[in-house]
Amino acid sequence: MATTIGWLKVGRTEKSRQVSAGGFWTIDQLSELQPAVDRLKIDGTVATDIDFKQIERMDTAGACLAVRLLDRLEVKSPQQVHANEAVDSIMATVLRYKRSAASDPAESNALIKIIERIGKATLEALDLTACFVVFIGNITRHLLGTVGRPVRFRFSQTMTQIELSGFNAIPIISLISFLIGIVIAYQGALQLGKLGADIYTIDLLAVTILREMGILLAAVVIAGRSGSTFAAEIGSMKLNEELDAMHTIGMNPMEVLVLPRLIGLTLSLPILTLIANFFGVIGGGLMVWLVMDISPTLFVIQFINSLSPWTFWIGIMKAPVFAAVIAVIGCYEGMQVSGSAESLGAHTTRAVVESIFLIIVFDALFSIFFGVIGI
Amino acid sequence: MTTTKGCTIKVCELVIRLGDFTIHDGLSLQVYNGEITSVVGASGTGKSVLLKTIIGLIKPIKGSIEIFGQDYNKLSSSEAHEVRRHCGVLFQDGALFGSLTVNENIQIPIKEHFKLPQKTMSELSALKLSMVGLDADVGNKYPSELSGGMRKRVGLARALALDPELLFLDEPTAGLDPIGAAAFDQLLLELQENLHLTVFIVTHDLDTIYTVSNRIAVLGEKKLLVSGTIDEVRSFDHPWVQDYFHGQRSRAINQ
Repeated sequence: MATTIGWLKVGRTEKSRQVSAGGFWTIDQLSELQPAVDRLKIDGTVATDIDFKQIERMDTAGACLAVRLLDRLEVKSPQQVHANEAVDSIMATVLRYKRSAASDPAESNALIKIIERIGKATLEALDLTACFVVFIGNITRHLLGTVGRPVRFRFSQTMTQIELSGFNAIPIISLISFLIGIVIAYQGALQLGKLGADIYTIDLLAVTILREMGILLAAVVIAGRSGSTFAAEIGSMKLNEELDAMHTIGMNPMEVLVLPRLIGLTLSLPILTLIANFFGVIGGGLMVWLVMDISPTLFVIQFINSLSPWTFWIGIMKAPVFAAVIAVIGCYEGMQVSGSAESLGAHTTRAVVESIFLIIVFDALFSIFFGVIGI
Repeated sequence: MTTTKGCTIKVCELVIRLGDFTIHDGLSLQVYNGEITSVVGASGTGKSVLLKTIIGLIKPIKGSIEIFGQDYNKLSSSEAHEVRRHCGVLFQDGALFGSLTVNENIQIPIKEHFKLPQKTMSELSALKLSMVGLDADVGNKYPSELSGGMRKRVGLARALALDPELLFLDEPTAGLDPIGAAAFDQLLLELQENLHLTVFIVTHDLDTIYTVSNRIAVLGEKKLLVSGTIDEVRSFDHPWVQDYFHGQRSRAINQ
């Protein structure tokens, strides 16, 4: 449609210069009109007349540009501008509000920006550490408080948590451990077979699954499943001001939300580890039977012989520690959510990444510790 | 007299059902060019649902909706996109994007539809911000750092970003202090006069209704009870309408 085009023309006579604008001075025309305004040569020697009379429609974006045009032409007296009432009034509106609108803050130089960012990140890290220490202190206080006054213990919430993060995770953990058992047994048989020591595949399987893989698999699955859930649940409650509401009713979020999750998970993970161990060994045993033709009876005898008294308990002992790590980090990250949906997503991700990272760090520490005490 | 005026929105025999619950059953409504139409009704009469249906967020079971003379449900997606560009919507809580600053929130409709230099967009967002009565330094803040009333104003600034011809406001003055609400009403009148806006307001605020509305539509009993000027609606014989316009709060305004 030809009528929707906006235009700007410059004409001049000996004594004066005539700038006229017309058509649609609206936001859709801005990309064409703006260069035209910016290209306009400034000529202070002659008086300029401005004619806005042919403008059919002007919106605030167009008025903004028109004001810039007048600025560029250094128009001082209103007599120089000829416009109809509608254009006048919208330009007056824009002019009134434009004055109080300041420009963006000045860009500081790159070096200062980098230093500023490092400083901000350092302060933030210190702040986070302090928050985390306070959080752990808070949990401990409430945990001890609950021991002192068992009435305050939220039994039903804890049971719900055991169901959600423990019981419901059984299928996936069983399946994964079963498959990993198969993988370990197959690789063991392949490599040890070269030495003619294939019977030791069973020793390898027993130690790997019971000491390390069972608990690690269970903990990593739970970190992904429950760690993220804790952070997202508590985080969205925080965004919705539900935590504040709890405080005003006299419920303590630590007691109502954090402790049931912590205790529930600490009780669930050892049992999940037991299940992971069981299915891992079954998977490995099946593979040994199929590939190496070792009968189940022989497998059980060799399996029991390969175990030291501590092998099983070392795996199980780690479980409550890992569970506590997952629950504390998940809840902590949930509590840290503030403001936007973006923050919720970021903290949920951090809950999972941090808890898997810490699980592996703790596993390494356990290995060193058991190595030092010699079991 | 009004028959000579064109309709910006024409809703015909609308039926909306959410789940098993029928919200509107044969609702018809017209919004005329350049007018401010206020939609009122008791809580739960489906005012917000009507607004969402008109802007195309809820699909009606039956009935037609015309915006700028085009049936929204028959448009291709690019045509619908073009219609949207001429509509601005202010949601109840502002519905600002939490991960963007206030300035970016206001610039996002411009970025989506036009290619303009950053400087121009900053200029425009600063202008819109000052039009809704906020300081320029608010522009670099995130929505989570603002109060409810400020979020609402930023929401309006974003709705105005493209200079829409048709503006939808969902409870624009709820949660504002009376002075802020009055300023908002004045702003609305000024914008309507200068930009020839057509405005569709869902509101409970009697002050807003009396100050800015050219026309009032009352919803109830799953349809439009009455629509007309203030005086026409006030004299309409229906218990809820009588209660609403002759209740204590209304009397205080009339005095």
